Amino acid sequence: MARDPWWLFAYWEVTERRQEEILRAIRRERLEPDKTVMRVYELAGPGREDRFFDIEISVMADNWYLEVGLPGRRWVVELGVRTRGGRFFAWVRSNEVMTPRYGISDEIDAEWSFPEDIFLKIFKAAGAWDGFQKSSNLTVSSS
Amino acid sequence: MKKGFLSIILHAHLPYVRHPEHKRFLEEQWFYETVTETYFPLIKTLRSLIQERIDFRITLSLSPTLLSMMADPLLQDRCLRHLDRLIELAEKEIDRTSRDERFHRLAVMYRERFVEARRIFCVECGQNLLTAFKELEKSGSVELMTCAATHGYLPLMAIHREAVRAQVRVAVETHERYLGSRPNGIWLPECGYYPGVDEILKKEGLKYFIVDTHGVLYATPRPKYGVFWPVQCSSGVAVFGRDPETSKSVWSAEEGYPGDFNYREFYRDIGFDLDYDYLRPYLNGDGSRLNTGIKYYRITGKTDHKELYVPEAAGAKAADHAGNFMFNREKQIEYLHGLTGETPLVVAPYDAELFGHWWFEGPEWLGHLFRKIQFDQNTFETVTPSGYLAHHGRLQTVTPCASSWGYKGYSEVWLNGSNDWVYRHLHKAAERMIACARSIPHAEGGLKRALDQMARELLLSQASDWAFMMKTGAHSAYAVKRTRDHLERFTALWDQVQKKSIDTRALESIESMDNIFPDIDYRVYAS
Repeated sequence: MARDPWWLFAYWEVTERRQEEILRAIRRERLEPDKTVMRVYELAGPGREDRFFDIEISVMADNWYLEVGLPGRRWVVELGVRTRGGRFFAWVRSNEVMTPRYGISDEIDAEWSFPEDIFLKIFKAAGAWDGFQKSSNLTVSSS
Repeated sequence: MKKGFLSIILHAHLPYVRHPEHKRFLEEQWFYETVTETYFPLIKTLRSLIQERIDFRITLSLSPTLLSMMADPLLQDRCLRHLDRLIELAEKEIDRTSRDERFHRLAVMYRERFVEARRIFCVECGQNLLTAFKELEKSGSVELMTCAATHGYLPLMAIHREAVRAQVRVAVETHERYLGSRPNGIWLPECGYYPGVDEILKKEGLKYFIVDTHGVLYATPRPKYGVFWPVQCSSGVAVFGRDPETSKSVWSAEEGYPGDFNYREFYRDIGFDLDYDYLRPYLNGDGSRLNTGIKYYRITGKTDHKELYVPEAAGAKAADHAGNFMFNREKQIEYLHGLTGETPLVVAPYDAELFGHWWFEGPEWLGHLFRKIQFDQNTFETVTPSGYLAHHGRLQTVTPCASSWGYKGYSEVWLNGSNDWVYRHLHKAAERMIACARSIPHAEGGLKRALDQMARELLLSQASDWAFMMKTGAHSAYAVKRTRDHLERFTALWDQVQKKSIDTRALESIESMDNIFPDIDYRVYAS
């Protein structure tokens, strides 16, 4: 689930059987399990390939808040084991989620457009630069 | 020709709290308090405006849980008993304060209010407040919208489309059952929107919803008129964005009208100030103190020192503040009209319970406001969202930004360390419910009843109120208990359905306890 434009939340339940199955697969390839990690995939968008990063988590955890730091992107998370050599074996895979947008869009529909100074005045009248809920400041971004 | 429009929207909601197993129950008190302090005064204000032939428009969203409570005979009887107790207490107060005119006249004021509320409730509404709301809608000045069935926070339910759809469909059906017509608009609980939910709304016949300011401001592509003109989703469902200026002038604790020192102080209630034995018959069932609704002081200032409430001074302030609100809208609308050459719309949504319950003078302020708008200016008029859509042209198509009106603007209020544990259980229950609806498409008799009750329990467990209460800490033990109780009942029934062995006696007991949505059909969860 996406908590806000920068953070996701994941929970899981992995059976011992599944963990043993993966362990066997790792051992079959003569590798050594190292860390429990969440592999966070940022899915491809216009001009972007899929990419990922890992978050090491406690073996005992059954949920985690993940800081992804990027609004308006699609994400999938896998939970599993990383070997000493860096290979990743997934126990489970999440549903896909999208972080909410943050900031005013640069995309402008020509049919619904004003000169930039009018846009700015309208958005100012809508409190766009006052910061909503007193917790953050608005930025113009293209994300 | 008016230069623009104002749309005031009040969102009325309470979670479904009904405990037939207890004679008097603390959390049930919320319903009686808001009925007495918000819904009666609002009904009274709106009726007066209609009788005076004021041309005004207001929109109320009545959540399906609230409608169900208003229609419930047990709660209706208990509400009447509550009013009787209040009248008795006010009479005792009139006696007790007879030597001090300053308190005495306030005690008289409360008795008159309670007696009038009782008269509206019994004589005019036949104990059913829905009668009054239906009548208000019939006048043409009031539009009634719906909300999700149990106020489930939809963005955190989105993983199961069928679960979101059930919240919406059951809401529309409940609205139609109790109010006689299908709603045009829906108040998304907590203004919780995510891209795609509009497709579900569209299929259920809904034409518009409301989002917080950034839901529209951050839309893609950029919305030409900001929040001052509705937009539409690709599904064709219209979206109205909240205006921050009107929001701040009423909501803000610092700058908002309700904080004026002349207004009544909410936190000085005789329920906490007076002798325990004197109050005992009017307290909670467990003997704990409560807000009785009788309060003698005004806000006075920022310290604990409080002076006596002066209704005339507070009434004059409410009129001043209504004038100020109107003046600011004139200036705002003139400015936006000059800037865009169009007729802007200012959307001002509030929690209904702010009016009367928290802000005692709120309903009076609203009455002054509509009268002033009619007689004291020519710049703008009030409109309902449906009224606006009916008379204005094509809307810009955008994808609004996933958002809510909660703290920080997204989902953190309902997803944090205090409440995140609920989602694995809620999602599991939804998954099981959907699987049952798919695999048992033609259940009958006891099996159908068990499946229908599972749907009720799932919906009740999904109320955003529980997660919210866990977050704020107020009544969090009750919120945890409600979540657990509904999920346990759900799971017990699910287990029986799996084994095809329904415990009819236990089922009857659950049915009579959680009796909301009597017509529900579990197949609402079928894909």
